[in-house]
Amino acid sequence: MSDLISVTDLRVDLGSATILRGIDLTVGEGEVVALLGANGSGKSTLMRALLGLVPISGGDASLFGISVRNQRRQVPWPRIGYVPQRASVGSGIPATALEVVLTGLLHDRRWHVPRGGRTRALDALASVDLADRAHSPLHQLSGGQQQRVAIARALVRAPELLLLDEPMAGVDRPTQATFARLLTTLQSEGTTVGIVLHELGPIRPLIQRCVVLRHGVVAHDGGAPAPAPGHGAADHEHVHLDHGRHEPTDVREAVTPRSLP
Amino acid sequence: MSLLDSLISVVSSPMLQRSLIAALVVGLAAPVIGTYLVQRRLSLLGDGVGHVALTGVAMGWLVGSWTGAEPNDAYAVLGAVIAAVIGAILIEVVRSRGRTSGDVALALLFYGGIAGGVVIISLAGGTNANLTAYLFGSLATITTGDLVMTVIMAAVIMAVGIGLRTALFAVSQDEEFARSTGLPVQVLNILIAVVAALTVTVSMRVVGLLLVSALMIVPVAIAQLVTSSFRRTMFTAMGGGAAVCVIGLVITFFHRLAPGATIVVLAICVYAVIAAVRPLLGAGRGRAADPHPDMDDDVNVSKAGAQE
Ligand SMILES: Nc1ncnc2c1ncn2[C@@H]1O[C@H](COP(=O)(O)OP(=O)(O)O)[C@@H](O)[C@H]1O
Ligand SMILES: [Mg+2]
Repeated sequence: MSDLISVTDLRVDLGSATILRGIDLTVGEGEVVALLGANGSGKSTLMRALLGLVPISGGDASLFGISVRNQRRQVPWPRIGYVPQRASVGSGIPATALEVVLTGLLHDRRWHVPRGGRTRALDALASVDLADRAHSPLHQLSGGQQQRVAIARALVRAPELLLLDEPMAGVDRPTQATFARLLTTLQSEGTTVGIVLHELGPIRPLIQRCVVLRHGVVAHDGGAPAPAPGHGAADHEHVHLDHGRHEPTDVREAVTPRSLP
Repeated sequence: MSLLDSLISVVSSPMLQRSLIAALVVGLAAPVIGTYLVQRRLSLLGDGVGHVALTGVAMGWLVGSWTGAEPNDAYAVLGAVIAAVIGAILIEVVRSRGRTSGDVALALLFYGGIAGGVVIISLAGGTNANLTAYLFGSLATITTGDLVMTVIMAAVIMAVGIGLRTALFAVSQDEEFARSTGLPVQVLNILIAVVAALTVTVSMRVVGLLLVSALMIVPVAIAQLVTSSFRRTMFTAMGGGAAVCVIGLVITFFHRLAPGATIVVLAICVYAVIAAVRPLLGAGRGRAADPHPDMDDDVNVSKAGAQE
């Protein structure tokens, strides 16, 4: 089995701070891996480092066996889809959902929308239940709908490796259910998925493996942490305990045995 | 003399024909790159580049006076192109670094551009009056050679701006995502900067360096009032830009007004009128459909409770 993602002793410094250090991680073909951790623990930075969007200061990260650090140009970008954390709300110029999704068809060697690209983009929008909003300007869509446009923009690439950064943050339950269905389909088609989450929620059954970051190092790599009794997912616990931000309503957490080291 | 007679005399005058063609192609080309600049929130880049281009004009003049070129501003446009391209690339580098000091760096570039231009033109034995044509436009004195140059540059701007539309849109709309697709974002950013610099120098003839940015931005501002897609915004802005340039210029054939300023004032009036009447026009559109997505509620609302 070949590794689609391979990270060895990765270190990332931003400004004067070391954000990630000593990260070792491999993700094999067809795996669905959740990346969990408190706010600011470095989840987004890890994903961005993998994609070569932030400079790597030590170690290495490879995609499809090719170093992102040293051979960025050789990385097979068309096989990779990325959904950034914040759905970017357009600027002054109105742009339609379809126009945004069409940009997902481009890569290092392709600067134009290919033949049949429009149909593919409309299909991608349909797969996130937005077929009827293709011609709506982005700024008229709700946050959840904009998030789904960003997912469609990654899906239109028909990626073998899909990286999603908190795709379910702030979306309503029906959108979460749609997303869980979509992920099931992708998994059955053999797509490798890396997904940053705050809680596993409706996609818990799909997740075979969880990687938990804490203060920029890997704190756990293995099965899904068991949910704490009477509370959401166990990763939730880390969010509060790691940073000592106990909310008064969550006192229970302090006495709940932690399921993770 | 009737209006028709005067129109005929306009159309049969080669000088006025040249200025009309120049106004038309510049009016078409300037909003193309303006659309990307508005998208990138770089509406003022044109102004910055325009200021720097003035130093280029003066440099060209200086070289002309050293080499005894005839006329002595033979290298002025070349100088403007070179300075504008360098200025635009510098601004892009500062922008992409995202440094907080970038704001100050840009300000230095702007003021340095104007002051440098004035100092160098006096070194070259010229006066500020020599710069006026570049600052406020000089459509009336456009030669056939100038016109050919203008048409070629406008064609290049439109070929790049329209031909690479999806890629340039991608880097302007979401740079982070564009980088993750493997697109050479830095190359595309520099391309936008360079084409913006060309647009500034080609528009210099029509409205002058001080108003160049208006020609790039105001038609886009008008277009986005009435459109809902990037593509249509660009093409509407091109049409609007060409229309205000030609109409503004024709007005100056009948009234003694400065063409460049007239064009810009006309464009701003169009913007004001459309912005004012838009709520009336849009009132009937899209009201029938419920804008809310058809979704189940996230919370259980008791029907009985709601009715009490
Ligand atoms: N560009 C940056 N420069 C400096 N620090 C940054 C930058 N981006 C993120 N950080 C810091 O890195 C840490 C991890 O951020 P991030 O990866 O976004 O966390 P997460 O996605 O897990 O919430 C945070 O403390 C954040 O403040
Ligand atoms: Mg994050």
